Amino acid sequence: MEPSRPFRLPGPGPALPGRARGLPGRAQLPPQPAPPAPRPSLAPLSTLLCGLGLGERPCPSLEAGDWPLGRGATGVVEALARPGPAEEEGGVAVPTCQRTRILWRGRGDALPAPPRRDAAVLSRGKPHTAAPSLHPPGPRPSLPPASAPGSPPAASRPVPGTKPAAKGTPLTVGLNSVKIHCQNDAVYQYHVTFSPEVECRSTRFAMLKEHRAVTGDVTAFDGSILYLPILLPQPVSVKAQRRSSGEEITITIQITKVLEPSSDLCIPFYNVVFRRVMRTLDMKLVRRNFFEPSQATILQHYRLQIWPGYSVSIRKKDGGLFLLVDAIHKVIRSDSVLNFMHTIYKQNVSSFQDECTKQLVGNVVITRYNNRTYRIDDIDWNKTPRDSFTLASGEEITFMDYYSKAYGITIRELDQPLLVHRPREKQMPDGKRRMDMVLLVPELTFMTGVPDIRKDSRLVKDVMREMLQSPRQHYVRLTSLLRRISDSPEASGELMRWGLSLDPDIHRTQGRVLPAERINLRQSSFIPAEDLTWNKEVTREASISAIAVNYWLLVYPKRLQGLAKDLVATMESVCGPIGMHISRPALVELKDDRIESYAKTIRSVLGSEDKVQLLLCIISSSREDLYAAIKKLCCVQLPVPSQVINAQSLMGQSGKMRSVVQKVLLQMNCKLGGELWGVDIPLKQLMVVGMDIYHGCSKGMRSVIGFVASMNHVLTKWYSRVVFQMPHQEIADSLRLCLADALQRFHEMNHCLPKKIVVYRDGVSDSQLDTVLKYEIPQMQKCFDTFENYQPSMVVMVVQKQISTNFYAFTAEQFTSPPPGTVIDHTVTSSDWQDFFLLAHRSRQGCSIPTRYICLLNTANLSCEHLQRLTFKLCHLYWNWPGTVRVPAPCKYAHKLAFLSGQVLHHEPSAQLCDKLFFL
Amino acid sequence: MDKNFQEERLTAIIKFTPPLYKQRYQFVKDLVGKYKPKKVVDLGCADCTLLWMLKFCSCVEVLAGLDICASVMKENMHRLSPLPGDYLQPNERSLTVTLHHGSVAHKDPCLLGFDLVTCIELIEHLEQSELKKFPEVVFGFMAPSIVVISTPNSEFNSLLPGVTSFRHPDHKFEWNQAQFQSWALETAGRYDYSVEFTGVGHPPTGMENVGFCTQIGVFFRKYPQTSDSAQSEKPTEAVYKTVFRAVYPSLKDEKYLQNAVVSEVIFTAQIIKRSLLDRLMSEHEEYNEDPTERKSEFQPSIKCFSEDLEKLVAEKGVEQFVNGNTVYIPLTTIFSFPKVNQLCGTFEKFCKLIAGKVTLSSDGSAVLVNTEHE
Repeated sequence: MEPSRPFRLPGPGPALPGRARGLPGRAQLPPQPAPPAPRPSLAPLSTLLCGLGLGERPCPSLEAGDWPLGRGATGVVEALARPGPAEEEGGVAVPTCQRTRILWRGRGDALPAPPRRDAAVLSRGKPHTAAPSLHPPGPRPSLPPASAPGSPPAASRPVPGTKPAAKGTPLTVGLNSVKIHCQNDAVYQYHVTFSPEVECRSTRFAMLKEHRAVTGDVTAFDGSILYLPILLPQPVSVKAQRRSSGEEITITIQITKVLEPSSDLCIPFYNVVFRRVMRTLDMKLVRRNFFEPSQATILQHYRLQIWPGYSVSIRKKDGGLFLLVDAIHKVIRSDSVLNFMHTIYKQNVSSFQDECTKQLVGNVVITRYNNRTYRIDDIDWNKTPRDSFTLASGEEITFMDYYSKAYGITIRELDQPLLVHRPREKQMPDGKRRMDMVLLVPELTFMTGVPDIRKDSRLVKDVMREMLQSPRQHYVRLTSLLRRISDSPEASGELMRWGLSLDPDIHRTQGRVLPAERINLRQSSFIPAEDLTWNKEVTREASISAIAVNYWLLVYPKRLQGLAKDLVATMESVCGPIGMHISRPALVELKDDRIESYAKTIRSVLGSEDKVQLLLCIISSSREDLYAAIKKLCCVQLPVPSQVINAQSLMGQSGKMRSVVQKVLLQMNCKLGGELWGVDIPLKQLMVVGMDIYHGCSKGMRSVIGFVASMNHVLTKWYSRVVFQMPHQEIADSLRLCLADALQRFHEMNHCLPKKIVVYRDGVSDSQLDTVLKYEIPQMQKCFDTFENYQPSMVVMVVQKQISTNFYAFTAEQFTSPPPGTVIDHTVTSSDWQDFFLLAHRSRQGCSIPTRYICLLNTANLSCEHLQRLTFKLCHLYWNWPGTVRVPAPCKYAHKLAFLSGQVLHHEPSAQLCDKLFFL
Repeated sequence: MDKNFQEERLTAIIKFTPPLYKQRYQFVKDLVGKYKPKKVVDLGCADCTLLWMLKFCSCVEVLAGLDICASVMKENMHRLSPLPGDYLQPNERSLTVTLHHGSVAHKDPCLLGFDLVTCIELIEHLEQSELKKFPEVVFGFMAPSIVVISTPNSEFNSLLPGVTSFRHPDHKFEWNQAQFQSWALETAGRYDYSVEFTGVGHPPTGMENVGFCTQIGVFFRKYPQTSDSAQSEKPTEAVYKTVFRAVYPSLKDEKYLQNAVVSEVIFTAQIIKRSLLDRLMSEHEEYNEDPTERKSEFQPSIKCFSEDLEKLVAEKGVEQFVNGNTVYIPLTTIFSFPKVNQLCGTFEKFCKLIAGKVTLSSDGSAVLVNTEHE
């Protein structure tokens, strides 16, 4: 059975508006069409929400922004859709999130669900600025065409067209957006009243549908608001009969507004229309995107399929209506979850259940019998398909019988456990919270994404290779979709019913390339090469400042004795050029490489010595638990900067050791408080703040806020803090505290307070922008009162990486990624906010994805160009990468910090480390 | 559809559980389960719910729908499309679903050769002229082995509150039991069919003489299947318009069969390799643990699964061998695995399907598996 649609389409084409995500007020779902959904669940509604894609998304992440990855690469990330490990430069994998341990069958029940996070840190679905406001019906004879009202944001938005033309090298840039032309003059909005009142929405639909002769076939109706592409003679009043009682109902259709066809109010049902277009082309809807399983690439060795697909949406931008298209992929296992469990069993008999839980929980599965996706939250080892559940009719039925009866599916293995999905908690009208549970049969579900990516990096590589698309390939896929639409009379006809037509090609517009930035080292400065990396320079020349390492520990297991010696020798030979002084370390040899050996020794050494500057550990292989144990000790309990190196990364060719050690040394210098490089910062008395949030992958876990603030004018000293956020808790309070502390510290170091504060806030979706504007910003501003007569100016920028905008450049008829520093601040920018797109990095593979910056507040009178240039400068300052990165360095630092604290430490790091980049 | 919805309201007091429309569909589904027709057409398929239910019946290979209203089909046709999951595990049977726009009063060759024709709540919507042509189209022209016709029983209407004339404004007539049965018997007689009467929606106790709320006639063709030559004597022009067509991925399709076979071969080869390596290893290893104790924690089904395979591997154990980093597994060994065997049928087909997709030894007699590929 297909998933229910959020919009009612009363005819082959039209739809009802007003059920968009984030639109308030009409949070009703259209009635479920019969037969009942195969939902062995207690609460249909929330399952349904999930089916509609309204449920919580599985936590995204896997560091997408760390390295300059292209579209193809992050495509994997999207497809994998689960947190994975990040590489520390030393080659140590950071562990993935903790998972609930499931007890053995028969020894007890599955653990009760952990406390749930009832509200996201920022409530999703805040009133959207473009929420349709319905004018009360009344005699309004003539209405001029008006676009939908949007509440004006604080950052005053320049009138479109008057955006300042800024400096920079002009460059023609292709976008993955397609202009939509509106042929009609207007869309007409009507208010429909039923008298006497008809409560049942489906009855309203049915009654209005009977009057197609009046309204025409092309309608979008949500039960009270009706949109038509035609103007009806006013007033319209028609009769209907209530079948149950024979009562006569008068339906009055009264015009309320004449809208421009590109009005925001039309966007929701235009999107529904476009979904029909995609269906017409035989694309399969999975969650929110469309795929073509018949065009799958099959990776037999891994039992994986890669489905090509598209994410499409119609949006209103400054340049008018656009279709945003992205060519994407979905990775999906071609055998059932049950088969996958068998495979795990064969590999790992003794800890089979634990291993299953580890590899399955958090993954999204798709069912064989309908088109739903569910996230696995648990495995119930005590249940089997022989168990029963209650149907909506009240009938008790076993899973086995249910699937046989409803879908003709015979479940082969009757002893398999069941997968548990807990939909997002639903707030009931009476204020009570409801706990729901959906049980799924492993035999009938398929896993999407790649399980356990760490294990088989060859798999990841193979999958990536399949999904990687050059800008050219990406473009070809977009245009082939456009051609398919225009070649199908049915598909283009569907759009034409509302007077919409698509441009035959992607949209091209004028972008700018920002001037190159000068990189400053201690004695020299240089303009980096075109690809904006400077690895050579930083390993050959002295960093701005280097901390002399006089007393440090090297901890290693006995069998890595030789390697440890080599390491020390290499360090001595490479530290000179980068301006570091490194004394011989105190060697701490462990008898074995058990966690206890490390922990005990480290604890005793650090406990007796308080002058230790740094602790360097060599571990024999990438082990999450050992890494976590060391980091917990060194970041929380006995605070000292620490570095963990995976021995494997040091082995291999001799040249490799040298370059790894160079990187390790630079990283150690950062962790000790040294400064590697800088850029020219013309703004004086400036503080730059970066913020990001880490969400644990299991629900109900606390989210972690990473906060980083600059402490000097060249932006090379950073103060950092971490706040663990309880579910329910407002983020604003913590921000005020963090900012107040940072200002205090700034004053201590500079004997003055900053006059300008620029905040880069990562981890905010479009629907949360209002919350940031209305709650977070005022709270942050409140902390200025703590200081006497202190009124700094402030800029708040939201940073969005997970966007589907792509840039292409055309050089000599070739498609390439545009150069780093490319900016677009018009046409595809939002009509509600002041925003721009900046591509700061050079992606090594695939298409380049720019980052979107939204300016929510600007009391510093910084021009758009200044903001762009400052942002670009900050993208040069992430010391873990000698080149530009996707986001400003403070955001990247905040991300690293939050990730380490949330994923590894599960605790706030010690305040003693707050002035060092210990988290790199 | 409205029809169903309204009837549900009407019968709110006399409550049918499951709702009457579902009982009608279930009746058809049970009939399909019993007689296992391969080709089924639903006349007056409307919102395609019945077709959607029938697509899960494993005997059905061709499913068609016909309706006079194209928009109601277009609104709902996508639920008849293959699901993403169908591409992951293609069905063994093939399945094609087609929707036609047209009238049951017209003959179209695309509806020839069907085994079962269902007309659920259809005839009461036909105008007198259409009703007249209907038996000739269904029983004379299409001539399936079984026809199911359901229609309201007007005698029941007095029990339905709010029903003054007909149950639905579009009904052109509603028959009592005698009217329906005489029409059915007369039609059956004319076209050499037998008919059995039944229905769904039992009357309340004490009013049994009213009959079922929905009366159903099941017609069986008395003469054997019309030969192809006889059918070709009925050339008719196509008058229906096809609005939808979906071909389900199936193992009957070479492309999907090949995928399935190659996947199975690689999977099987991996299992053989693993067990071979394990055996080689265990020859050098001492047993520290009592293996039986470990096994007690297994789940029974999983135990079976893996023991079966182990047994199979053990039986064929002599044939494969390891050479350096490569394990040679004879094709005959892999072909003897039931799943592979079942998919391919013959050894020749098996060889043809995996050609070029699996690494083979130089003489083409064995599958090569690299022991390092883990």
